Amino acid sequence: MLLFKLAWRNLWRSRKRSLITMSSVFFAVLLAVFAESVNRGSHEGMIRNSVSYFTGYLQLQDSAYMDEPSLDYCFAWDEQQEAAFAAVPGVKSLVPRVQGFVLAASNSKTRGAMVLGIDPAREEALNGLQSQLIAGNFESGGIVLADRLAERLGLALGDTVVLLGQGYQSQQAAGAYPVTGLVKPKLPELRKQSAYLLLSDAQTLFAAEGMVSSVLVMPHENASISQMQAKMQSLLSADGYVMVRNWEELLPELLAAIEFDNASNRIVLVILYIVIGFGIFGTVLTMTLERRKEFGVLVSVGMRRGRLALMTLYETLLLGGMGVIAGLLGSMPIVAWFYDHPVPLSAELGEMSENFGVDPFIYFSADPSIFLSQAGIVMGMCALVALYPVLYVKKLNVLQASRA
Amino acid sequence: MKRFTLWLSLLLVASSLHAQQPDPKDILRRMEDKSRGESAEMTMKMTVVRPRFTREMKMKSWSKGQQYSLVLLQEPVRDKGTVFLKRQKEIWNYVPSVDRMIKLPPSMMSQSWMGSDFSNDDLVRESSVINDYTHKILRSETKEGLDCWVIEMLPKAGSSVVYSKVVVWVSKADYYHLRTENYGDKGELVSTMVMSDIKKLGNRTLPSRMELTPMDKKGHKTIMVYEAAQFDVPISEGFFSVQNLKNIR
Amino acid sequence: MKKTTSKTAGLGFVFRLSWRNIWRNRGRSLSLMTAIFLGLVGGTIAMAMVTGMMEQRFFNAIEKQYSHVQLHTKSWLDEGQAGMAIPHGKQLLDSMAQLPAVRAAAARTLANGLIASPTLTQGVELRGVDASSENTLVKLSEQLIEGEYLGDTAAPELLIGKRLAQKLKVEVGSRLVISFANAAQEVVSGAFKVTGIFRTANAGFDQSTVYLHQHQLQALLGETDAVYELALRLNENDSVPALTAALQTAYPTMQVRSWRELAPELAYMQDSGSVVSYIFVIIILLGLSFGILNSMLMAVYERMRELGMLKALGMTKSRIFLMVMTETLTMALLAGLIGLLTGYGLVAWLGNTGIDLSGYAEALAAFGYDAVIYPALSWQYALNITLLVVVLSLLASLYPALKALKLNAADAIRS
Repeated sequence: MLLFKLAWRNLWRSRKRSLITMSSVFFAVLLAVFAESVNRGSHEGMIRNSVSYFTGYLQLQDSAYMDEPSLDYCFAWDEQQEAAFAAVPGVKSLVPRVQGFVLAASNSKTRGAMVLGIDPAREEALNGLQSQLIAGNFESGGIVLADRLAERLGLALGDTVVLLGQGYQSQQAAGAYPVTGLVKPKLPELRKQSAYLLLSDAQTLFAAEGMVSSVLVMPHENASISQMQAKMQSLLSADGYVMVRNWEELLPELLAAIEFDNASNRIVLVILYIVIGFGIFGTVLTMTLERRKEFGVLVSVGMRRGRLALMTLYETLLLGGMGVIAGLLGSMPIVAWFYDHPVPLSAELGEMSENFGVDPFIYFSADPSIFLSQAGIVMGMCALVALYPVLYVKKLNVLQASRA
Repeated sequence: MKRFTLWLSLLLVASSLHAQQPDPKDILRRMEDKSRGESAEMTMKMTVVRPRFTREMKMKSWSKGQQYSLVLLQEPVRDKGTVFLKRQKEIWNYVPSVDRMIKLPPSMMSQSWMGSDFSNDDLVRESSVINDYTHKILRSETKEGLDCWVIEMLPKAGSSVVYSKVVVWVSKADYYHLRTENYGDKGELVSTMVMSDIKKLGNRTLPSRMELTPMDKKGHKTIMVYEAAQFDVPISEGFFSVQNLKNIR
Repeated sequence: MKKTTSKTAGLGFVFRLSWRNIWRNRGRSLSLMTAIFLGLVGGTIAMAMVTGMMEQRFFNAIEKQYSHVQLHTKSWLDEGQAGMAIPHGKQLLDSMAQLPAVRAAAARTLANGLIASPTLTQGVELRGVDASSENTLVKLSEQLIEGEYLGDTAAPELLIGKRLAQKLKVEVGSRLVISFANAAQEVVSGAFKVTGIFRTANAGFDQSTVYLHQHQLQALLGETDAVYELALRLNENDSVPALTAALQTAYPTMQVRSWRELAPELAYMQDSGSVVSYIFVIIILLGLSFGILNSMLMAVYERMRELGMLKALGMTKSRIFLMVMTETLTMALLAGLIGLLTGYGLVAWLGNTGIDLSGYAEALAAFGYDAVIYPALSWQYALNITLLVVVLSLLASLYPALKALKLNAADAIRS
C-alpha cells in the first residue's frame, strides 16, 4: 500500500506531466467513443427503418409463419393476452396485424394487393402511417388504398373496391369496401400494392375473427431485446404454435448488411486505436525518459527494482484510469447531444434517401456498451503501454542514470 | 393340309400377340371417353386436408366438353352461392356477398383453387394426354382389384407440361383411370392421384373418389368424391356465360 | 553550447538546434513519428480500399446490370403488359448504337409472367435477349455460376438466378414451364430447359428474372421484332446526364432513365459514401493531432530547465517559440508526408495487383463486390488530406510552443 500511496503522490508532484498524460488518454477515449458511436448509430438507424415498417424489433407469430406467411397461421389474440404482454418490462407498444394477399377489383381493372388489417393509432406511432394519408381517413368498414394502387385500379375516394381471395383455413375472403382514404407510404413497393382495413374489418374478411397474423413489438429505448424476448416466450405455452421472433431472424439480409458494414468500419477503428495508442505511448515514453535520474537515485539509494517497477505501473495505471474516467464523463454529454441532434445530410442526399425510405441523417448511438467497450480498450492500451516504464526500470543502468 | 394349319395357327398366334400390345394412345383415348362426355352435371364433395385442419365443401358442377365448365358452391354456408366459370382459357368468379363477377388475371392462375391442392391453372390447362406426350406401356399391375395397364408418358419437347414424366394406370377391362403419378426431372415423385370407389353414377360406371396428394408437403391432401352425376345431358353454350353466373342456384 | 547573443542568434541556429533536439530525444521523436506515419499509411490504405470497393460496386452495377441509360414506353412501366413494345424498336436500337457517345447497346423483349416447376409456381420477368449483344453490354456469361450461356438459338434455353433455382428446387438441365398473357389477354406457355444459373449482386433480381432467346419470346408473344427495353452503355460516365436529357426530349412518349433513376441506392451510395469515410479520416487525424500535441507538450515541460537556460542565455521569446514550433512541425511533416507518400505508393501498387479476399468471395458477391479489391484514391482526396495534415500539424505545434514561452527563466533553472 505504501507503494500505491507513493505512486499517487508522484502523480501530483509533477502535476503538469500527469495532466498531459491523462489528457492524451482523455482524448483517446473521446475519439474512440465518438467513432464507435457513429458506427453503431448508422446501424441503429438502418435497423430502426426496416423494423418500423416491416417487422418490429420482436414479433409474435406462428412458428410456421416465417417460412410460409399464410393466413392459415393466424393465432388468437384478445385483450387479456395483450395486457399480459404489454406488462413485460421494456415493451413500449404492441402492434397487431392481419395480412393477406388478395385480388382487388374496381369496375374496370383487377390487381393483386396486400391487405393489412391494422390499428391506425398504433401504426401511426410505429411508422407514421396516418401522417402519410393524402386524402380521407381510416374509417370503420372502409378501405384506405396506397396511391399507386388506387391509380392503377382507377379508383378515387368514395368508389368501391371488391376484394377476393383466400382467408383463414381455405375459407373464401370476399368483401366490398368504399374507399375512405388514400395514403402515400414512403417505400415504393408499398405504394404499388398496399391496402389497409381496420383490424376488425380485416378479421371478418379473412374469416379470422379474434385472430391476428402477427403482433409487432416495439421496445422502450435501451430496453434489452433479448430479455424481452425471453420473458415473452415464457408467457407462451411451450407446445403451442406461437413464438417470439426477433428482427435478426426476420430480416437476415439486413443483419448481413450490418455485419458487413461493421466489419469494414472495424478496420478504420483499428487504425484509430493504433494512432491513439501511440499517442499515449509517446507521453508515457517521454515521461519515463525524463525521470531517468530520479529512478537511478531511487535504486541506488536502496529501492528494489521490482518495487520501483511496480510503482511506475501503478502510476501509469492510475493516470490511465483517471484519464479514462474523465474521457467517459466528457464524451457522454457530447454523444448525448449528437444522439438528440443527428447530423442532417445535405439537401440533395436527404431527398434521395427519403425516396427509398431511409432517414436523411447521420445517427449516433448512445448505447452504454459503447462507453464501456471503448473505455475497456483504451484502458487495455494503457496497461500495455505501462509495460514500458516497467521494463525500462528493470533494465536501467543505475550509474549512468544517476549521472544524467 | 398340315402346312395350311401351321400357317393358320401362326396367323392366330400373331394376331393374339398383337392384341396383347395395344396402342397406348388408344387406351388413353378410351379412358378419356369414359370419364368425359359431351356434357355432364355432377354433385360432389371436396375435402381439403391440412396438418392443422380439414375443410369440407359441397358443390355442383356442369361441364360441356373440355372448354366449358361451371361450379357452384353449396356448402359451407359462408361460401354458398359462389360460382366459378371456365370459358376456354378464362376463369370467372362470382361471389354473392359482393355481387361482382371478376375475371381471374393470368397472374392468379397459379394460386390454389378454393384452398385445395389444385391450382386455378389445373382447371384450365388443356394439356392433351394424347397429343402432348409420347407413350409407352411399362407393365401390368393390379389396382382396386382390377388388372391395369401401366403407361409411361413423357412430355414432348414443346408441350407446356411441368412434369418430366407421368405414369398412368388404366384398367384393362373398362378403361377406368385409376392412378396417376407425376414425376420431376430428377425422377422424384411430385404428386399422386388415386382414383377408387368404382360406382354407378347416372348412366355410367366410374371411380367416384379421387385423392390428390402432393409429395413435398406433409399432411396435405385433397379428396374429391362424386356423389351423383348425369352424363350427356343437353346444356347449351349460353349456359356457360358470364351473365348466367348470377342466376345459378 | 555556442555562446550567443540575441543579436547574433540567427534563424539558421534555431533550425539547427531544433533538428538536433529532435534527434537528441530519439525515443520520443521516433515514437511520435512512427505513430503519425502508421496512422497516415493505415488511414490512406483504408480510405483507398473503401473508395476502391465503392467504385467497383458502382462499376459492376453499371457494367453488369443497369447500363447507363434505359428506354421504355411509359405504358410498359405503368402496366407491364404485353403489347407495350417500343415503336420501331429495332430501328431505334440501330440508330442509338451509332451515336458517338455510345459504346454498346442492346434491345430486349420483356414479359411479366409465371414460371413453374413441379413443386412451385412463381412470378417472374422474362427477358428475351440476343445472346451476343447482351453479352457485349452486360457480360451476362460472366455472371453464370453453373451451366452454360445461351448458345443454340433454336433450343428452348433458359438462364435463371440462383435464388430462383433454389426456390423452384431445380438445377441445370431441369424442365420449367413459363406462361404469360399476350396482348390479346390469352395465356401462352412453353416448356424450357435450364441451361445456366447466374448470380448477381441483387438477390431480388436473381429471384425474379429469367433470360431466354429473344426471338423465342417474340414468337410466343406473337409480336415479331418487338422490343420493350433499350439499354445503352456510354463511353464516359460524365456524358450520361446530357444524353439522357437529349433522348428524353427527342422521344417524349417514352421514358428515358439514367442509372440514377434506375438505381437510386447506387446514386445515394456514390454521393454519401464519402461522407462517412471522411468523418472517420478526420477522427483519425484528430487522434494524430492530439498525439502530437500531447507529446510535444510533455516534451516542453520536461525540458523546462533547458529552455530556461536558453532564455537566460539571451534567446528571445520569438526564437524559442520558433524553435519549439519547428521541432514539432518538422516531426509532424516529416513523418506525415513520408507516411502519405508511402500510403499513396502502396495504394498505387495494390491498385495494380489487387487485394485478394477470395476467402470472403461469397459475402462480398452478395453486396456487389468482387473477390479482388483494387484500392484507389482520387487526386482530390490526396490533396485534401495532405492539406489537412499540414494544417493540423501547424495547429498542434502552436500550443506547446506557446507554453514554452510562458516559462519563467528563474523558476525553470531552479526546478
